[in-house]
Amino acid sequence: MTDKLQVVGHNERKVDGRALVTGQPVFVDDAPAPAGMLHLALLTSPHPHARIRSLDVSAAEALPGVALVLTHENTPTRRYTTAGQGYPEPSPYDARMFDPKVRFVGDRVAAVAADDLATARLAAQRIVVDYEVLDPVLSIDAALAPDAPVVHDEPDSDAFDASRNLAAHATAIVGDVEAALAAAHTVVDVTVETQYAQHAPIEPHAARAELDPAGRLLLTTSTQVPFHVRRIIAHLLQIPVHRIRVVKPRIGGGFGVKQEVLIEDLVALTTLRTGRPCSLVITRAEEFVSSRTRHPMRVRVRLGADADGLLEAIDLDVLSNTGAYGTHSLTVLSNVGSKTLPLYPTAAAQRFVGHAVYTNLPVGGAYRGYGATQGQYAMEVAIDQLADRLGVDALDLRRRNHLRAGGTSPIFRELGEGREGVEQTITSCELPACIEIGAQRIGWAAKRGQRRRDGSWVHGVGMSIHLQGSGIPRIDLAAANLKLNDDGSVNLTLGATDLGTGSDTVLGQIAAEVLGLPLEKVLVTSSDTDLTPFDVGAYASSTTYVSGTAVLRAAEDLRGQLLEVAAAVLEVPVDDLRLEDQRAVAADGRSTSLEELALRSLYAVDQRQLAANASAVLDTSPPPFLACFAEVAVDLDTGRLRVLRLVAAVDCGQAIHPRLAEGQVEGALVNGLGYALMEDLAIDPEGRARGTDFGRYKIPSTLDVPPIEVVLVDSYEPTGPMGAKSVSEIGINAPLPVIANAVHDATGVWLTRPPFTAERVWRALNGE
Amino acid sequence: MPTIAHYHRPPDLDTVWGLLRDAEGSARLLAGGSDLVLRCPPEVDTLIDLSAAGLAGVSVRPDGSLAIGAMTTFSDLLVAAPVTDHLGGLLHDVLADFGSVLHRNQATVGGHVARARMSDLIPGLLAADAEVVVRTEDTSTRALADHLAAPPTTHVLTEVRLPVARGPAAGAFTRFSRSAFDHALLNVACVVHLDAGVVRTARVVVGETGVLGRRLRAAEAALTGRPLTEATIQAAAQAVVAELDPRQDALASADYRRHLAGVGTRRCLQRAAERLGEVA
Amino acid sequence: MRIEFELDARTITVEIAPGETLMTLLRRIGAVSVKDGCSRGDCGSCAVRLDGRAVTSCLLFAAQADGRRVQTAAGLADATGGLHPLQRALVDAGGVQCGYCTPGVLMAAMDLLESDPDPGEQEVRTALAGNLCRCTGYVKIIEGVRDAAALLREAEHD
Ligand SMILES: Cc1cc2nc3c(=O)[nH]c(=O)nc-3n(C[C@H](O)[C@H](O)[C@H](O)COP(=O)(O)OP(=O)(O)OC[C@H]3O[C@@H](n4cnc5c(N)ncnc54)[C@H](O)[C@@H]3O)c2cc1C
Ligand code: FES
Ligand code: FES
Repeated sequence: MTDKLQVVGHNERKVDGRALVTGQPVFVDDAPAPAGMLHLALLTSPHPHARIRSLDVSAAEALPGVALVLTHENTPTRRYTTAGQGYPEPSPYDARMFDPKVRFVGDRVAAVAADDLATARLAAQRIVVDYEVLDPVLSIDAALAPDAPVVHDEPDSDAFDASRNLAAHATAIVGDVEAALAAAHTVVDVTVETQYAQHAPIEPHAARAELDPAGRLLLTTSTQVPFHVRRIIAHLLQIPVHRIRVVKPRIGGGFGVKQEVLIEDLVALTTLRTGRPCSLVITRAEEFVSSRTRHPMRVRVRLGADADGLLEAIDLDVLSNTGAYGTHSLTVLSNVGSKTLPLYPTAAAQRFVGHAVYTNLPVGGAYRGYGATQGQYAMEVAIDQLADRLGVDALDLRRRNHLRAGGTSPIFRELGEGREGVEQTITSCELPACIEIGAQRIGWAAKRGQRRRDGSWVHGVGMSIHLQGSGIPRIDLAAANLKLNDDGSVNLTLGATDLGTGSDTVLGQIAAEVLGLPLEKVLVTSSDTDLTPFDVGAYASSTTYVSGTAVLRAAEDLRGQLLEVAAAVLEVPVDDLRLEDQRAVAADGRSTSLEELALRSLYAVDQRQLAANASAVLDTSPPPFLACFAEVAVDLDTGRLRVLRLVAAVDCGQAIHPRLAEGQVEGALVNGLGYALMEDLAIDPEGRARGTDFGRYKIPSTLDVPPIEVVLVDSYEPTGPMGAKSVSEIGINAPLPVIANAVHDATGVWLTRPPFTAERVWRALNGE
Repeated sequence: MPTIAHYHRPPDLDTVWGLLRDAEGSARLLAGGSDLVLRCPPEVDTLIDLSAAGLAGVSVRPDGSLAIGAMTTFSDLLVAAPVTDHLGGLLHDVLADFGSVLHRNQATVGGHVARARMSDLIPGLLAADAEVVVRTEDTSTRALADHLAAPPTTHVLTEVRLPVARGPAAGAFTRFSRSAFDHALLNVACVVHLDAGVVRTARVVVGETGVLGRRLRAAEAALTGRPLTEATIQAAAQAVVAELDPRQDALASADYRRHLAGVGTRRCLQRAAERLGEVA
Repeated sequence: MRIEFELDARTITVEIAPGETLMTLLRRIGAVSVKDGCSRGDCGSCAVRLDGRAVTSCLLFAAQADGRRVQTAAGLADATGGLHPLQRALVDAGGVQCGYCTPGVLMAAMDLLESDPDPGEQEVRTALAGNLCRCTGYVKIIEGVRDAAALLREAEHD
């Protein structure tokens, strides 16, 4: 395939590479401050659960330089969700801009706008708040206790059952699971309990608001979802959508946490109230505590299999802690089922039951993997336990059961993102090749089960398999515009959001390929609600597949128009023409350049702007697949766990930009590695998150990361643009189970509580 | 942001001392700044930058002891062979894993010792019987242990000294943490001095949060007067486990820290024995 | 107080508050390639080179730069905007995703390349250990720095 392609499948230089590597001012807070800009500082709750009896802001307002103090007393009271999802959002409307009740340590109490940041911070500290402290709910079990305090006691709650602290509930039932389990030859029963983690983009959330000369509100923000920001801000502040323009410049990573409308409302309202520009960049501590996290979960998997290891029943029971607000509570929860069960369609009986509970703890949100991370961890450990019990090789057990091309799963239909799903048949699956290649690279046959000793260290290998989706079928909409310029270059404008993933490059490559252009002649502008067409934004692994399809369609349309003009010039039928190397070439070898075609149509004959617009909403969400292998060593003296090597063989369809695709997998693997080994927002007994800086909340550095080999396996997805599927999330699901399984291979203990710190491993080794 | 009004960069130590004394508590010495930037107390309005006062560098003194200037950065220390070779590589163990390059390029030995919080260096220095040179009205040299126990309120630490070992001696250091650069849960430094095949003196020092470096006398006693055999080493490690009463916090339980102290002691002593060419 | 220092080959004279950090000063005067990822010395995104050594500018008082030489990533390209081989290699290897950590990574890598023309993988890891990157998983950053070393060695021979 690739040898016929000119741009797609090649490692082109990233379109924003030059600006980034020369340190250009391309991030939100890099732009020079406009005259009179205000700076915001936040005051957040020190209590996990309290009612604000009264607030005294007079000392804050009296400080010279303070322009505005925002509290629940002077701000809109509409309910909304900060989850940046499509309309209507499947998350409960359980938040207010400011609420007289605070529900976690770090919840918003007030915001102060002042001439400079130091003054704003000082003023925020001068606000006197009288709290009526309430009993807090500090764990899943506490939330479910019969007489538990109610986190959301507002009478108009639209959560699943707020009176029982249930934010959301999801089920899918196929066949009779209990009967199948009872009849099975072997049953395994595994419960894992995952921790709070934070996305930790190196750029914290940043947003600026100003009024443009026409008095419209311009929001420049580090968001993954510019169009959702516009809609949600309009709703919350009750201003018309057409009075708002949202622009996303370069952003310093997101991983889901910037799919949340967390701070735009504050800068927007301040600017609307004062007429002055306003900036807010949250601190690292606020990013950790007050923004969003990965939902901690308790996941129980029961598997029933026959004597040959053919699965007969899977029961998946999930309790998710959504924290103080239900952002993404339903959809992440559903995803645990919908991204875990379909991998094993051999089990005729399958059941998923999930509940998301409110607690007075940090708020869960969208985080790369989106529930699949937690679910697949439990599932892949259970599969290894089953293999262990049956004495079957873990590879073989998976080979006997995993989803294949041409196959399907009833779960696709039963479970969607918070609603019914969409039936689909798998049109590409190179999982068998992924398993084969990965096993070879890690040396599976020679190393598995060997328990090789090296002093106090013992070695082991493990593996796991994974899938994700490519966008949300029949929901995610993306659109793209293309317009031809004098010199045959094109402007590609699209709503899709590049958060560092390289989507501007990848989408530009698709257009370039279709139009026979080098990438530098595709000028990509994205994520500006005034200038670019709609796109839901960057989440659910949708960009390459859904936005890419929109770009492909727009490019094909423009190509058709170009060929028509060329047909007139060369006097040949359109069907005899193709675009190649910036020219329209006829079957007989004669050609004309795109520049000539552009000049002709702009200035000479049959004058018009050649341009195209296309949208994409797709009926399927073809999963990418991944087989991951790890070699680990465990120090039996101390429990210290070292990952020595990671191998990941991936089926992402045709990689549009192989190096960027590898980079997505590598980044996701390391993010997952951090989650498996060290990352933990740990909550203290008073409900405060302990990890408030990178000293306490460790993320991997160069020295914590083992050699990683990513192999992109040859694959082609017939429904995807140029054969592509998604690639950016899947890798994060692998480290938890692959490391746990490798540690079992080395030591015989199962790790079910991440992070796998040395002390936890040591305790497990000692039978605790 | 600290509310600093004055910044000085005096050209010599006398001027430094004069300024510091006259400021009567409202001034702070500024070395690398890596600690002070984050922790400058609100009452401080003056910074006295030591970078021009000639306090950087490592030298070997006439008696063979090593002098480490207070303003020597960790990066410079790591490439100072007399320091990293000292006691068979004890301080190499410390320095090779210390912070990141960005941090080592800035942080100084003087600032580190003066800041006196959880430290990967101090246990090693204590095990090496380090001394410090302290400038007040006059200049004095005292054992680091004494200095840490009761530092003069106003002083300039000008030098850390490592005495020469009489006879064969070696040490080692190890730390335990969650990730490569992390606050250590616990660290251990050991030094043994031999005399005719038996341990003449030994230092076993354990550091943890809130404890800069504690000498474990029972372990030292278990080593002293005995040959450095595996059995001796085991006995010393057991003595550490028995004697240590570590803290419990979010990073680790007391049990686990106690266990690590034993493992760390054993490993350090084994490495020290290797460095001495003794079969451990 | 007023300080004077060299910033990427320009002389800067500027009024500062003695308590402000070098990072705040640099960003305030428009040297915004210096990023603020944590303000606590933990992430390396604010790294600059001070007299030729990479340090975290958020842990330095601006006053400490008085009379000294400060280099930032923005000063790496040549006068005509030609990319430094390190910049080229890093972006071409795929070592730049969101790019927020990139300026700091470039500074730490320059330190390494100036002292070691042919660093092995482990040397690169050690040199960059203070620069957190959440996007790349480091694989391609390490590759990029080693590619840059090769480019620089070639240039040396030419
Ligand atoms: C990111 C990071 C990573 C770190 N990693 C580690 C690690 O792995 N292991 C570890 O042990 N430590 C670590 N530390 C702590 C670090 O070593 C100290 O912050 C550093 O050594 C302080 O040195 P400095 O020169 O920057 O001191 P400064 O910040 O300049 O000064 C510190 C204090 O000492 C006083 N002072 C400075 N010099 C003198 C002097 N000559 N006489 C008297 N008083 C003086 C100052 O007034 C100030 O109160 C780390 C710190 C950071 C920020
Ligand atoms: S901002 Fe300076 S190290 Fe993070
Ligand atoms: S590229 Fe995004 S943090 Fe490194």
